[in-house]
Amino acid sequence: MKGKNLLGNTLLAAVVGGACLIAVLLRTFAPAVILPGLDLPMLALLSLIALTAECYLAPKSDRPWVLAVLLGGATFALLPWCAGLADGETVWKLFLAGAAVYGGGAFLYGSMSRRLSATPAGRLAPAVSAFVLFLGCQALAGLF
Amino acid sequence: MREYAKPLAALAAAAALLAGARFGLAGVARSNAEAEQTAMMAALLPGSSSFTPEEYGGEDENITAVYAGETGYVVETVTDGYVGEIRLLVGVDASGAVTGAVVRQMEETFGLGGRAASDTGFLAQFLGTAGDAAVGENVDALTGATVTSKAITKGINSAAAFVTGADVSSGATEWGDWE
Repeated sequence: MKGKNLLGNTLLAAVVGGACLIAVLLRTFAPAVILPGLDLPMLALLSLIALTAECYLAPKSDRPWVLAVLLGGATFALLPWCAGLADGETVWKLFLAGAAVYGGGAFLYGSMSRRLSATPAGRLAPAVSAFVLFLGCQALAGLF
Repeated sequence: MREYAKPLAALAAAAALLAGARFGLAGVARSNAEAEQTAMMAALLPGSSSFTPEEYGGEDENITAVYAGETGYVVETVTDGYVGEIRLLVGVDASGAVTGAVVRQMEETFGLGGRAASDTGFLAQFLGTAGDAAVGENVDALTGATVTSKAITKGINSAAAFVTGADVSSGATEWGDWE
């Protein structure tokens, strides 16, 4: 596993944790605010923010895929549950959906950003890749 | 250090922080939510300041809670929107006329159905209706969000029908049904 790391998962825990903390604070101090649901586009958005940050911080890094996907699912299941945003029934769904979205997103994001980074506007490649994938995920989620 | 130690530590720290925040703020959250709900219901039903929860034993599955005020009722409804459930609070005076409606929870598409929560022009169309609101007749749907508009219409008609006593089994509250 030399050369591989789980920086993306560390960043994912920070991003999801931050989002959940904001949700807890809004529920406490601004209960009238309508919070977005924990649906596929939201999982994709949080995953892509973490992957983009990882890409800028450690551009050449690779990940141990099985461990990364399992930890991704665990992050999306555990943190919303601790924040009271998901109950016991939805935790397993979030684990499976989170693992699929983070794993699939990381694969697609890596492929896309590597190709785009070879272009003259390579510095923008991570952000552009994340934006395009998020739009794609939103469109896909609307089909179901 | 193994490669999974850092993400596991980050996950554990985030989980501990969130659980602490959730349970530490639970009391404040509960009292703020109750105060906000009472203020919202007072705004929806002019002339009422205190509200008593009533048990709903009717057949309308859209109605999830009923609160009696001095001048009418505030009815909570849940209907299926385009993406997910839409939860409304609807003020209805003693004559069955809608006095206010607010979206409390929804997951509709941002920029389309999501506008239903903040588009006062859309929601204002329901003021004064008494279970007779119908998209395409006396209610203009939000552009690009017909399903959301009909779901909200359905919830508001259900709330009015609760007060007027309309028979929901006759389809009196099915004006907004798109199926």
